[in-house]
Amino acid sequence: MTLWLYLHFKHLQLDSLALSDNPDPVVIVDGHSNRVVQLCKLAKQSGITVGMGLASAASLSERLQVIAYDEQAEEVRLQEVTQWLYLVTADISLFPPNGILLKVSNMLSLYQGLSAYWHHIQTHLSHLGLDYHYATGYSAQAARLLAKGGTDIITDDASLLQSSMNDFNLSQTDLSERICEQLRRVRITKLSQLLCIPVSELAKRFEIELVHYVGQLQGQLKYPLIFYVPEEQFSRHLTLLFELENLQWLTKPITKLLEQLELFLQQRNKLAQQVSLMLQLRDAEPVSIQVGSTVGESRAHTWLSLLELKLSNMSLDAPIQAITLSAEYLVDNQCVNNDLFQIQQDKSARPTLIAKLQAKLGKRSVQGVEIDSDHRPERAFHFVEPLHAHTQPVRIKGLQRPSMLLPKVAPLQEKVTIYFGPERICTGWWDNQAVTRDYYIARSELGKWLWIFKEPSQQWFVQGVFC
Amino acid sequence: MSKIIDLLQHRQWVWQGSSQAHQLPERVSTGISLLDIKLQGGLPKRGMVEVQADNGIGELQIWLPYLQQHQHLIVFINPPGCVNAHHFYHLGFDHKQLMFINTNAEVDALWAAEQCLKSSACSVVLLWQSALSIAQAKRLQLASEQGGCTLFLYRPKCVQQFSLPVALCLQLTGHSHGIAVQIKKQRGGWPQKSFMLSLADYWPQLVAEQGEASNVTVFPTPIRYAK
Repeated sequence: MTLWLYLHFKHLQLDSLALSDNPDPVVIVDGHSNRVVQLCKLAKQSGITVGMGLASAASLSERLQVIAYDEQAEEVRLQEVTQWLYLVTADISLFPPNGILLKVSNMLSLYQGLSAYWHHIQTHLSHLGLDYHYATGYSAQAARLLAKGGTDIITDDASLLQSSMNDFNLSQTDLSERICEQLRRVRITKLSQLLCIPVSELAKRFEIELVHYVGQLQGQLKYPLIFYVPEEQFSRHLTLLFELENLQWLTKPITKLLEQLELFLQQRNKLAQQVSLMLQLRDAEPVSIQVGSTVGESRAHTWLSLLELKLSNMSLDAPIQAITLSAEYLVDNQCVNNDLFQIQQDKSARPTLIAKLQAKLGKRSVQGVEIDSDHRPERAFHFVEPLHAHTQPVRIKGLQRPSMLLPKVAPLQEKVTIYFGPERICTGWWDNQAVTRDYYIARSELGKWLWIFKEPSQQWFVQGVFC
Repeated sequence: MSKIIDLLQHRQWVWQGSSQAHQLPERVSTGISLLDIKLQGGLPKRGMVEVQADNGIGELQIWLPYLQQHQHLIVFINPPGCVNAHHFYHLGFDHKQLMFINTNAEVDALWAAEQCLKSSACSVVLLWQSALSIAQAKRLQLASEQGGCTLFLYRPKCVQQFSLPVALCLQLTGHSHGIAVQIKKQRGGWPQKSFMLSLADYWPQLVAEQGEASNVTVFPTPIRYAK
C-alpha cells in the first residue's frame, strides 16, 4: 500500500504576515461568522482562543490588531509552500486552503527510510517558519484526518496508525452533519465503531457518500488526486501590514520578495531579464514599474539597486497596500570566466551599466546606434537600444563627414568661406524622400567649421558642425 | 606652520613637484605626434581631461585617433548636437561601442558620467557640461581612476573659471592654420604656452591655408531666407 504524508497548516495566513517585530497581538477573523480563526502567540497569552467572537476578543486585549481572513491569500501561500517542497519531494497534491499531501512511498528509496525523509522535509520546511501538524497514513484521507486532528505521527506501522485513528470522533471527520446524525442515532459516535462494520453492511443501510468515505479512509477506494506541476514563471504577492507612504520603506518587503526570486532562479539555474513590481494603492489604480537587464540577473541586491533607482524618480498619489513582484523573460544562466587579478574594463559590465542608466534616466535617454546603408546623412544611422546593433555595412574610406549633426537642418545665415567640395549626394528617388544636394565644408568668420549644402533651388543650408 | 601645510596637502590644495616627478602617470598616445611630444607621451591613461574650446573648431575631431584605440564603450553625454555615428563608423569605429546619453537635468548627466566611469565597462566618457564645482570634479576624477576610464570634459572657453582638479587641462582655439593648443595645467608637468597644431596631415579638409589656396571661394554675401 502507498504511504502518504499530510501537512496541515494551522494558521497559514498569520504566518505569512511577517510579524516577527510586531509588538501588538494579531488575530485573523472570519468575516462571515465574526469569529477568530487564527491568532498569534501574544493574542493567545491575553486569553483569546480560536472560535471566540470578535467582541470578546477585542475586550480581552486593547491593542488587538484584527485582520480579515482571506482564503485566496492562503491558497496563494500554499502554492508557494508547495513550490518550496517540490525541491525535496516529487509527488505533491494540494488541499486548499491549508493542506498539502505528499506521496511518501516513491521517495523512500531516495532518502533510505521514512525517518530520513521526514527529517529532510522538516528541515526544509523550517526555512519558511510555518506552524503545521503532520501525519502519515496508508490512504490520503487517513493521513489527512490524523493531521487535521493534530496527531503529529510519523510511522509506517499500519496497526499504530489504525489505533491512533480509532479515538477520533465522527464530528472530526469530513462526513456531513446529516450522516453523522444518522450514525449517532444508531449509537455510532467514534470512528473505531464505524470501521468495525463491513463496507457491504454499510452500503445496505447508509448513503453511498459514507461508503465512499470509509473506503477511501481504509485505502480500498482511490481518492482522486491532482499532482502539482511547478510553474515556469515567478510571481509573488505580499500584503503589507501597514500602509506605506514613503517609498524608501518599501526596501524591506521588496528585499524579501527578491530573495525568493533569487532562490527561485538559482534553483532553476536561470536569470531574469526583467522584473516588474506592482504597487497596489489605496483607492487608486495600481502602479507598475519595470526594470530590465539585457544579459539577465539573479542576485537580489542588483535588482534591488535597480528598483531603488526607479523608485527614486517616482511619486505616489496614495499609500501602498500590497506589492507583487514578478519576473519575466527567464534565460539560462551561462557562466563567463573573468580574470581574477586584473581590474580592467570588460564587456560583461556593459549590461549592468546600461540597466542602471536606463532605470534612472529612462530608456529613451540611453541609446546605442545602428548604421544604415544610406547616403543621406539624416538616414545613415538611427538610434536603437544599446547593445542591440547587428548590421555591419561595408565601411567606406575617405568620407568627409562632420562629427556632429544639427538636430534639424538650418538655413545658412552667416558669412562663410568654402574650403572643400562639392560632394554631390543625389539619392532617395525611390522612397519619396529624394535629395539632390551639393555638400561643402566651410568655415565661418568665427572659425567654426560647418558642413553646408546647396539645393538645386540655390538655397544654402547647414547640416553639421566639425566639432 | 607645518600643520597648515599638512592640511593643505591632505585636501590636495597644494602638490609638491618633488613627490610627483617620479611617478608620472601612464600615458596613452593621442595618435598625433606633435601633441604626444608636448604632452610628455600622450594623454594620461585614467583621469579627467578638461577641454576648453568653442564649438566647431575640431575639438572632438583631434581626439578621434585616440578614441579609436579603445575597445570598450565610448559614452557621449549631452553632446551639443546629434553625434554623427555614420562618420565614426566609416572611420573604423565599432558602432556597438558607441553609447549616447541625453539628460534633461545637469545633475543626471553628472550621475550618469559617474556611473559610466565607475562601471569598468567604458573606456572613454565625453561629457559636455559648462558648470562644474570642484567637489563634483574631484568625485568624477576619483570615479575615473576607480574604473580605469578617461573622462573628457568639454567646457566653453571663458576667462573667469576656477581651475578644476583635473589631470590635464587644455585650451583649444580655432586658427586658420589648424588649432592653437594651450596646456593650462597638467599633472606632473608645467603649464605650457600655446602652440600651433597643424592638422594638414590628419584632417586636410579642415585646414584653411593650404598650398592650393586657389580653389577657395569667398562668399561675399550669404543668401538669407525667410523662415
